[in-house]
Amino acid sequence: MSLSKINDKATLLGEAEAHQAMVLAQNGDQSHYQKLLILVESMARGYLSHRLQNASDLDDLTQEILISVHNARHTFDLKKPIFPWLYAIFNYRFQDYLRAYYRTRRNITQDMNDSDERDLATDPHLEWEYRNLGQKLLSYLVPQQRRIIEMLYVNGNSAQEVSTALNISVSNVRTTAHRAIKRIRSKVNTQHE
Amino acid sequence: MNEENEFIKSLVEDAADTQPTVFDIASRSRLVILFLTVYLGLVIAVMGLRSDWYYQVTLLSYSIEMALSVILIFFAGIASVRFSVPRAIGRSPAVVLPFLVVVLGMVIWQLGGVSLNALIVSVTTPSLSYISFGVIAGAIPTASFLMWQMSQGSPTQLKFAGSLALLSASACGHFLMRIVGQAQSFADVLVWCYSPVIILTMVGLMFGQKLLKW
Repeated sequence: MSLSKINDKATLLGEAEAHQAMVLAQNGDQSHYQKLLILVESMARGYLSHRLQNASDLDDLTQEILISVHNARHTFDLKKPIFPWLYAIFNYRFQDYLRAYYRTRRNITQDMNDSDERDLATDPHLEWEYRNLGQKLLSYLVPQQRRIIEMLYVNGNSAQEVSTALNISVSNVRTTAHRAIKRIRSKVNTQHE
Repeated sequence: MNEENEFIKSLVEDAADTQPTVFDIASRSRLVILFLTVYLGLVIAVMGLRSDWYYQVTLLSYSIEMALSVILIFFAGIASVRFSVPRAIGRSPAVVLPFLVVVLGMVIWQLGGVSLNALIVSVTTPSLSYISFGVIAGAIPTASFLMWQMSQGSPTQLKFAGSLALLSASACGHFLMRIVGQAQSFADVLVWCYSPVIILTMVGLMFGQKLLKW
């Protein structure tokens, strides 16, 4: 079944239907897998909306959860209910997010007498520092990821333009960009530790 | 919302391309039992039983200690694999295992009749540290095997799962040092053979988060 024919607005599933969708998904049924992921996305948003204020963090974490469910799908025991399995992943990712959040922010202190008034446009040294930092972050990526991140965020191309230039799908561009950012974040976090 | 749909579609496409092998807990648990049995059997076959094993098994403290070690080895090993998939700790029977470690210590201390003086003498005899090294060496193969098994799953209780794996592994080391080694004094056993079990379990608790992150 072609993915383009699949109805994006799949009706939300209950526990039994979600379980059935997972059973079918494990047997390679793409349409049911898509329905399941749409349900997971909606559940994750519901779960996180009570806990997170920042909309961008909520989007990021929802994507993280979707990737986690995708990566862990082989560990689901078909004889067990699916919702506890899903909520265990939600909890795990949320706690992981909190850990990273407090680790990166707890050491940030602002000295009131030490305001940094340097301007990127007028300070060549600062511009040089930023350029170096950008190069360093890009060096963490594999060539394809680096190319996509450069086109999207340095050259300011749209996902559609990148997709045409590299001859890959738009969704592939977005997934690669998401993984690249995740990779950079994890490298930076590792260095902070 | 559209972006999310695109993202979901890319995951579905990816799922169509790669169908991972199902992580079956029952067969993994059987594999763990097989590994532990073969490993313990091999080491005992190669190293041989301690010379006074016949006398030792007649001691209540030694018998209970060994029985508890075997329970810890197998149950913690299986529990670590069961926690290799997303799940909550909840009312899992595995939460009893850390208490069993305390019981093991109490058995050695009380039934072995360990006095404070004997403990002080043992602590101040660093030449006995070879016993601890033996426990750690005996734990390494089991720890590596369990960590490898767990890394193929997707554990969500990383600290707990990590501590269970190292509990099973260190109990293996403890069991082997007691069945192959010649230590006589229960004070030495408590200080040099039992304490690595506690320490390694704590190490699993502390580093599970790093080692099993996915």
